[in-house]
Amino acid sequence: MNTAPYIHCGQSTALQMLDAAIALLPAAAGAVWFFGLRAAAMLLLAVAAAFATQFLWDRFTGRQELRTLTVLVTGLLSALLLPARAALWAAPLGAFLAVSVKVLTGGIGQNWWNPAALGRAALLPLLCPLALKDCQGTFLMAYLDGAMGEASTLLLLVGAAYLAMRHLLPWAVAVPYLCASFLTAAVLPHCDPLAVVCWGGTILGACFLSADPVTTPMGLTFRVLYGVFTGAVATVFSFYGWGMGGVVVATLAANTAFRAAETIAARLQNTAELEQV
Amino acid sequence: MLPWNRGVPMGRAVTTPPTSLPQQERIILPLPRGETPLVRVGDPVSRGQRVADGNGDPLPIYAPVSGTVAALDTMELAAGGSCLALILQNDGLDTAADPLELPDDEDALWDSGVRLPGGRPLAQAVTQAAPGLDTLILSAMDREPWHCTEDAALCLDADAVGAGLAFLNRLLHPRRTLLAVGAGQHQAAHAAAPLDCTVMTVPQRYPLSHPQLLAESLGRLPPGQPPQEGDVLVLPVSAVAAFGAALQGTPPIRQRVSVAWKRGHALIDAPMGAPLSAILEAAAAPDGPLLLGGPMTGSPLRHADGPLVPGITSLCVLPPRRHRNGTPCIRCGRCAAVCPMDRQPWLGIGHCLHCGACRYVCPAAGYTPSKEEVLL
Repeated sequence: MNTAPYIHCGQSTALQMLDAAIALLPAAAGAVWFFGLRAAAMLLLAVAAAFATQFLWDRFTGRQELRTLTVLVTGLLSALLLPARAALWAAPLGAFLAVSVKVLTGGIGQNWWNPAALGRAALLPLLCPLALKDCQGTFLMAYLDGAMGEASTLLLLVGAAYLAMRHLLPWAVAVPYLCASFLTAAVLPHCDPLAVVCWGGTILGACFLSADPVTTPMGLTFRVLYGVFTGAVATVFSFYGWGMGGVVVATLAANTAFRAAETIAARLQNTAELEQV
Repeated sequence: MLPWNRGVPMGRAVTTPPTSLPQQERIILPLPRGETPLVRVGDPVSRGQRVADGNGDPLPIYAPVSGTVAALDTMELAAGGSCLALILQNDGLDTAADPLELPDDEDALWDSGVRLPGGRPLAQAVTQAAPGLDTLILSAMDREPWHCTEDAALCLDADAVGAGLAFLNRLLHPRRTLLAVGAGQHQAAHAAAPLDCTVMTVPQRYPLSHPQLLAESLGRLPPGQPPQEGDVLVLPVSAVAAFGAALQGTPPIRQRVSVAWKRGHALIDAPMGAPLSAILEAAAAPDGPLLLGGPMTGSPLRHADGPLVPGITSLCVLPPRRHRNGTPCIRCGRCAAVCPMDRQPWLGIGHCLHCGACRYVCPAAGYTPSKEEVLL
């Protein structure tokens, strides 16, 4: 017993992260189904590497971040953002980079960039990404040329529905993201807006990368703007450039811009309030 | 602004018939605000007799039982500190004094000795709002989850509420009188139907029953303005019922106390000055850390030896808690989503009600989550 309130709703960071990981399970299971044991190995290696990296950093910094289970989500996403044809060591390397940069930029809560996106972006030079405009096939059921996670939009949507059920889906980001994605694709030449919105990468960016509360803005206005910005930029980048890599780079750009904007806005608001007093 | 989508959905204890406390041998009446004793050691007293007098905040005190004055001594208060106290020896005869007669003006409020939950005199709240009152709001909503004293006051004492309300309407001439009931309080809403006021239904979400939020949402008070300084007065129905009973001849010598714990609750009808331990025993409450008030904003009580004093309407027994350090903030924004004052708690600016809703929902707070702590 310390201070009021003396009861609690029972929610904790670890439970939220567990929910996010559960939401990724359909996509992970799909990856194993489509790509076989190689995908399973990549997933396991990435998660193990994320846990090991966080464990070592915790020993080194004296903080206790492992028990928040954020690395479980980071590890899973690190693998799912990679194509199955990538080298086997790419997944654990991405997870290691993701967790390390997160710890070095202040640890959980302070990091500016989505760890999994950062790990994937760091590996970008090692992969030969496929631009969306050169892609063949339908995205909805089984699209096997991109990242493992984007293989089946349906499975991603099942996970997103779970997130929504657990009140973890940031609607204020996801809906503007999808709208912006659709409108941008409609403007781009030779681009089918429906195909882009149905692409797994768009769902991953809108519902899963943006569901990381740490790197997504907090206020409603900023969230909507964040969704619009990321959706538009991700569509252009992935259509002309790097497929899944485009989504990741757009997310990182938005992370930077909006965290900076938020920090400045908070400063200004604080100053204004102090002047009033 | 109607902050009705804010706050946390929280259950409320359903009003059960109150249990009367068995006769207590010794009754302790603390005089913490410098009330003047009107009786001396050895004097006989009858139930309802005025035994201490006060002018202003020290209000008159009436004897809850008949018997003799055993001592006038210093005693320790349950909430901390010590003061002079009258100790009555109960003779068990329950001899009643003449019914209380109150003047038909503002002095009745002071003479009745009624205090609001928390201890502020009812008369003080009313007289401060008296000039130019626009809206009088009676609240039949309990301030906190787990408790049901306000609901019980309206369900069981609708007559007294009516008498108190009629007096207040005559004294204050508010442009309109509203009665706030929670969305689930059907019995209370039914009991309120014959009263001379408009019944308004408020969502059963904590802390929307806070007087300031009721004043803002029902009384259309500008946000951020404390209710008692404006033209809106919010009074808990239990205090109005106690005042109405005083008008009808019974001074506030008994009080219903809601005792709640993890798996249950009880409503105890106890005389003032009865030991809190006897109330807890009558409620069959489990052992555990004690709270004065509700689980959201209550204050810890070191022991239950102290007496029941005006202002105590609810007690909580908490489960023993295992401790864990909090985890870092993950910027999830739940605190801002529930804040009834539309604050952003991480900025630390703006007016705060200290309702605790933000800490209740925070996933990073240092609690060991257990299903039992999820309410009712």
